[in-house]
Amino acid sequence: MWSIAQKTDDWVKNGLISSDQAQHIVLFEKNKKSLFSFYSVMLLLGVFSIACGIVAVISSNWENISGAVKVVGLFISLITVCLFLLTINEKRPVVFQTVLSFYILLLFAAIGLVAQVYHLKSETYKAFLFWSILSFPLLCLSRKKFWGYVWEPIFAFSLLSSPYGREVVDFLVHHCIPFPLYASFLSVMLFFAVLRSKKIPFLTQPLRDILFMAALMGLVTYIDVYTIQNKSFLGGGAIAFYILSLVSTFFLYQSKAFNKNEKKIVYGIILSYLLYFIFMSSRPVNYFFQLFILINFIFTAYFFNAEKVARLLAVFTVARILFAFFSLFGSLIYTGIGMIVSGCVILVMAVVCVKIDAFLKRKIKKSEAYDE
Amino acid sequence: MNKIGLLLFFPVVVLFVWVLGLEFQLSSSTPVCLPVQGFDPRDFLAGHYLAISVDYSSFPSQCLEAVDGQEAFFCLKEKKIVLNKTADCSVFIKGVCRFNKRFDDGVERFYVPQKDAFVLEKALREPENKPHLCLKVSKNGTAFPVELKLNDIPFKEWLKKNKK
Repeated sequence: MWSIAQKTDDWVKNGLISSDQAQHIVLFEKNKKSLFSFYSVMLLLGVFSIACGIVAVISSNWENISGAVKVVGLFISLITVCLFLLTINEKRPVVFQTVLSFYILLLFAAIGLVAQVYHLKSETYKAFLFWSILSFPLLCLSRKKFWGYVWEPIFAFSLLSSPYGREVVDFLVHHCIPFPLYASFLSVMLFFAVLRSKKIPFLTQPLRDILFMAALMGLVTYIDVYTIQNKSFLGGGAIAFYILSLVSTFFLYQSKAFNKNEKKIVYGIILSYLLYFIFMSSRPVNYFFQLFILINFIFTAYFFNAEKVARLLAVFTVARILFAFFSLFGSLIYTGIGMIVSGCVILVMAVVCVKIDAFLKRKIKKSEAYDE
Repeated sequence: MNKIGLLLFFPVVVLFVWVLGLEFQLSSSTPVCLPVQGFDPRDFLAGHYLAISVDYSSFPSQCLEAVDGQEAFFCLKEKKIVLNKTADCSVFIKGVCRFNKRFDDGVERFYVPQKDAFVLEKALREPENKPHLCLKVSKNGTAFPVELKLNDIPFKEWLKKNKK
C-alpha cells in the first residue's frame, strides 16, 4: 500500500494524474481483497499443516496399506480436487489456477501409483504420453502458456520415443539427408504458419517458440556429419525437400496473414535453405550457409518488429561464429597469440553487431516512414 | 454437468476405466508361480521396485528358432514356449522372443518397500532362497505379478523370519 501511495504521489507531482484520481486509486487498492490477507494466510497454513499430517501418516503406514485402499484413496483425492475446482471455479481465479496446477501434477502421481499397485511394466514414454492425454483437457481449462511450454515438449518427446514414433524418425533420418536441415526447414515453415495465429494462444505461442528453437538447433547441428558424399540431389529425400519448398511457397503466396514485403522476406528464407541444400558440401561451405541463414533470420526478425528476438539471434550468431573460430584454430587459443587474436575477434564482432543494429534501426525507420 | 466439469472429470474417468480394465483382467485370470531372477531397483515415477524376470531357461523353448521380436506363447499346462499356439495351450502367457533367444513376457518389475529393496535384491540372487514370482495370467495372455515368494513364503513373511 505504501508503494502505491508513493507512486501516485509521484504521478501527481509529474502531472500524470490529478490528486483526486490518486486518492481513488489508493482507496481502490486498499479495498481490494488480497490473496495474502491475514485470513487467507492462516487458512493456507492450516490446510498445509493438515495436508502434511495426512501425508506423514500415510507415508508411515504405506507398506501396510493394501493396494485397493491406495487406489480408492487416489480416486477420492482426485474427485475431491475436481469438486473443489468446480466449486471455486470463476470466483477465485488465483486459487483455481493453483489447484488446477496441483491437479495436473497429481495425475503423474496417479499413473505412478496405479503402476506400483499393479506392478506394471512402465515404459517412460507410455507414462508421459498417457499423462499428456489425461492433462490435455486441464490444459485447455487452465489456458496458461506455462503449461503449454511444459505439455508440448513432453507430448512431442513421448510420441517420438514410442515404437511408432521411433520408426518414423528412423525412416526420416535414413531418407531425408541431412535430417537436421530438413527438421530446421520444416520448423521454420511451421513457425511462419502459426506466427500470426491468434487461436488458442496457450498452445500456439509455446509451439511457435519451440519451433523457433528447433529451427535454430537443426540449422547449427551436425555440420561435420553430412557432406556431399552422402547427399543425393535426386533421391526421394531430396524430392521431399523440393516439394516442401514448393508447398511452403504456395501457402505463403496464398496467405493473407503477411503483407507483400513480409512475404518477400520469407521467400528469401526459403531460397536460402534451398541454396544451402543444393550447395551443401565441405565444412566451411556449410558453415557459411548457416551464417547466411542466421543473418537472414536477424533481418527477418527486425522486419517483423521483433527487435528483442533479432538481438538474441545476433548474440546466437556471434556465438556460432566464435565457436567456429575456436574450433578452427583450436590449438592457438592455448597460446598468448591465440588469446589476443580471439579477443580482437570478439571486439570486432561487438563493433560489427552495434553497427548492424544501428543500420537496421535506420532502415526500419525509413521503411516505416515510407509506408506512412 | 457443465463443460468445465466434463473437462475436470475426464482424467478421473479415464483413470477409472484403466483401473477397472486391470481389475477385470485380474479377476478372470489364472494364478501361477514361476522361478525368477532379479537385479537393480528404482523408478522415479512409482518408487522402489525389483527389476525381475521370470526364469524360463529350464523350460523347452522354440525361441531358439525364432527371430528377434517374434510373438511366442508360454503354455502353462505343457510348461513350454511355442511359436504357434495350439488348442491344448488354452492358458498361456503371451510374449516375444528376444535376440538372445530369451522369452520376454513383459514382466520386469515388482514394487517393494524401499527399506527392504536391498535385502530382497540380494536374496533374489541366491538360488537357495528359491525365488518365485506368483502371477495372474489373463485370458489374453497378459501376466500380472501379484506376489513374490522366497522359500515358498510371501516375501514379507520371509523378511520377518530372516530379520537379524
